[in-house]
Formats: sequence, structure tokens, C-alpha cells
Amino acid sequence: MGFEVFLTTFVLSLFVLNIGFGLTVMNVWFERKVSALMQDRLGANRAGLDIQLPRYLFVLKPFIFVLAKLGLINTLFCDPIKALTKEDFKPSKVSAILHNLAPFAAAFPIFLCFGFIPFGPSFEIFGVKISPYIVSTQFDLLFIFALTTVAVYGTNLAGWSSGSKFAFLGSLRASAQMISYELVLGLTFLGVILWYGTANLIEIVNAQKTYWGILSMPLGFFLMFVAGMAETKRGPFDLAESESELVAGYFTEYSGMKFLLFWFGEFAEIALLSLVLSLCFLGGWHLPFISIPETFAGFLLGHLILMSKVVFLCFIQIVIRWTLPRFRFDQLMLICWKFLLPLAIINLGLIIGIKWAWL
Amino acid sequence: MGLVIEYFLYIAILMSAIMVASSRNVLMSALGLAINTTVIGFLFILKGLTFLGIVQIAVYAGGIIVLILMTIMILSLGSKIEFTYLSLLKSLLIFLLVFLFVYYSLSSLNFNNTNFDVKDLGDLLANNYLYHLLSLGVLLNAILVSYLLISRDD
Repeated sequence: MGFEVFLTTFVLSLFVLNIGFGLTVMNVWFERKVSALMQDRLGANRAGLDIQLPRYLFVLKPFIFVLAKLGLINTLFCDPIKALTKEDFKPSKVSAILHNLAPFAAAFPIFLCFGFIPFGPSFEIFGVKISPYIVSTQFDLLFIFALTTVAVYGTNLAGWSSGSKFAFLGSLRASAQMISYELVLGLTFLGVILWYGTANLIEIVNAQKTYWGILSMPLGFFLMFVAGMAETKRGPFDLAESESELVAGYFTEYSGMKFLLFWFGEFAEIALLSLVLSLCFLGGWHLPFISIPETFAGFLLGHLILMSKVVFLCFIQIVIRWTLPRFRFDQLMLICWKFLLPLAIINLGLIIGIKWAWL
Repeated sequence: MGLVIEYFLYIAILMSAIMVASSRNVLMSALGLAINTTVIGFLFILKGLTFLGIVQIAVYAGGIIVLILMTIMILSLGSKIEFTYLSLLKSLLIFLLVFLFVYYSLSSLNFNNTNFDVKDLGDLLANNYLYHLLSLGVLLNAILVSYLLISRDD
């Protein structure tokens, strides 16, 4: 491997990680402010207002004022500082290896998935062709599916290794929920692959230049959205961490940075689901009747279009989380096995039928 | 670089396999199996068999072994298993038998035909190696029975 390839991959990895972390932090901020919006509150808008700056840094004052009023100081500074400086509490008689391993096993595969996501169209700058993704294979969607299935180990091990009944019950609920909804998600992915004839995300996006995938597969979009939300273990599917029953579920016994890693994993999953939905059903970086040139300006425009769709979908997910009440566990399983799974099979049958009969 | 990664994966496969067989905690054994299947998946991907690798990770690591892990957790089998040299001898004997069986079966297979596809493989296995297939079925049944025995609540 040449040095140039290594350097390009390194820079692209930083770029992709930056977007991944950025979207994750944005979701944390959304959670804070959208929950306030839904409950008719102002939300975080004070932290950082009283900060005493030296005289020579007075130019930063208006900037900090805006950040504080938006509640961004809490998300960007307070949360990480708190997590980093908090005591790493570990209950006695727990398996230390598994207890330490679990947060990484939950968050790492999700961040790995961002490597397969194209964040805009390819472009040429100074005669060099740059593609804004780390890896592009013929099996992008399948890779993402496989890696999200592995993430279940994090929740599983966290509950087991904590030595607490609350955490254990939470992990059992999470495992059952994730395995069940993976079936629906897998069948929907299969439908998408069959419809476009490829699992490569760039080819899928380029196939939606004329009309978006949501118009041809509305049922597929609905199924992937619901099953994906259940995979993220967020409300109304947050049985695994239902605070009124299980304290905090599978990460009850975690604190500090490890706790933050679980949270980061969950919010990254929201961003990942929004990205996959935007790329597979909402045309990715395409807008109807607008052709994007292969220049740097075209990339910026395409990236902006894609990110607008992703932010909108993240917003919708947080709104749903703060609107709908939590399901009971039997209802959760009923929805999956008796409602979503038959629908997913019907969706797959419809796609096969349409492809076979008309296309 | 690729060769270094490949050898690293081989070592990881061996280490995790040893962890499966030698761990006295059933949960750690299951975890070793999960690592083993995941690393084998990575090895397939590194060797260019991408689809097979993805299926290996999604089906085995992400599906089946999670269920095994869940069963172990529900039945509280995390406690340490009693270790005896007799059990070690028995497992070594079984390993040797299975190894000889697989080695004998594979050494007689002919893969020289370059146009060899999945259908040909199915034909070959069903026509020429029927007894081997049946024996593998019996072996899998034995594994299932052993799972039942392990999970028996005394």
C-alpha cells in the first residue's frame, strides 16, 4: 500500500469519524432541546452565561452567549468533562474484563458502519478524484447489517457482567428485542437489494436520480424505520432501559466514560439509521430535477442535501421518542412477530412480484 | 501488511478455539465461540470471499451464538464447571476423531476443476460423500444433545 493511499484513507477516516461524532453530538443536543420543546419548556439555556473570561478574550463573549442560550455548552463541554472526570465505579464481584469490554462492544461496531456510508458525490479537485467514503464494496448494506447484529453483544455482556438483577433483566430484554427486530430489518434490506439489484450504497443512490425509493417502496421505508427504531432501543421501544422498572436497564452499573459510550452508541445508531434511510429511500444527495456536477461545489451541495435529510429524520425520531408512551414487552414482541414480520414478507413478495412481472 | 493481518487472524482463531475448549466458565466459552466465528468471518473477507464472511458474521456471530449466550444467561450457567483430567482426555479423543474424519474427507475431495460451482458441490456431496454428510448430521445432533445435557437443571 502506497503512502498516498494511506494518507488519503487516513484523512477520509478523520472526515467520516468527524461526521459520525458530529451527528451523534447533534442527537444529544436534539434530545435535550426537542424534549424541552415537546414539554413546553425552554430547555438548557443557562450553563456558560456566568463564565468569567480574561479581558483580552472579550471577543469570544457573544459567541459563548449564543452557545449558552442554545444549550450547546451543556452538550459540547459539560457532558464530556463530567464523564471524563467522574469516578469509574465498578461493583464488587463482577467480571472486570467483560464489564470493561461491554461498552466498546456496544459502540465500536456502530461507528465502524460509518466507514461504508458515502457522504456525498465524488468530485475532482486539482485533478485528483476524491470519493467521500472510506470503503465501497458490492455488499455495503450487508456489511452494515452484519455489524449492527454484532452490537448486541455489548448490551448482552453489560447486563451479565454487572451482577445486578436490573441490569440483567434489561440486557435480556434488549437481546430479545434486537434479535427479533433484526429479522424484519434483514428482510427489508433484502427487499432494497432486490429492488435496486445491488447492495452498493452509491449505486443505490444513483438509481434514485429520477424518483426516490420511498415512492416505489413505501412499505419498505415504514418497516425499516420502525424496525430500525426498535434496534436503537429508543422510545417507544426503550424496554431495555425503562427507568420506571429497571433503573437504567443494562447500563445501571456503569458510570463516567463507559456510561457515555453506551449513550454515544445509541445516538450514533439513530444517526446511522437516518443515513441508511436517506440513502436507500430518500435519494441520498439527489433532489428531483436537480443534477449535481462532479465538482467541489457539487459535493458541498450534495452533502448539504444529504445532511438535511439526515437531520430531519433524526428530529422525527426524537419527536416520536418524546410523543409515544412505552410499549409493554408482550406488545413489543406482538408487534414484531405478528405485525411487522408478516408485513416484511409481504413487502418482499411485492417487490419480487413487481420486479418479475413488470421490470 | 495483508499477510501480517492474516497471520494475526489465524492466531486469534486458534486462541479463541482454545478458549472455547478450555474455559471453565460456560459463558466465556460461548464468548470465545463468538470471537472465533467473527474472526473466521474477517478471514473470509480478507481472502476475497466477502459474501461468505458477511453471512458468517451476521448469522453465526450475530444470531446463533447470541441465542446460545442468552440461554446460558437465563439458566445461570456462568458458574465454573468441574474440571477433571478424564474429561480433558475424553475431549481430546473426540477432537482427534473429528479431526481425522474431516482430514480424511477433505483430502479425498478433488477441487481441480475450475468451473466448480455450488451446484456441483451439492451434487458431489450428495452422490459421492453421502455417508460423510450423514455422519456430520449425527455429529450436529450429538452437539445439540450435549447442549441439552449442559443446560440440564440439576
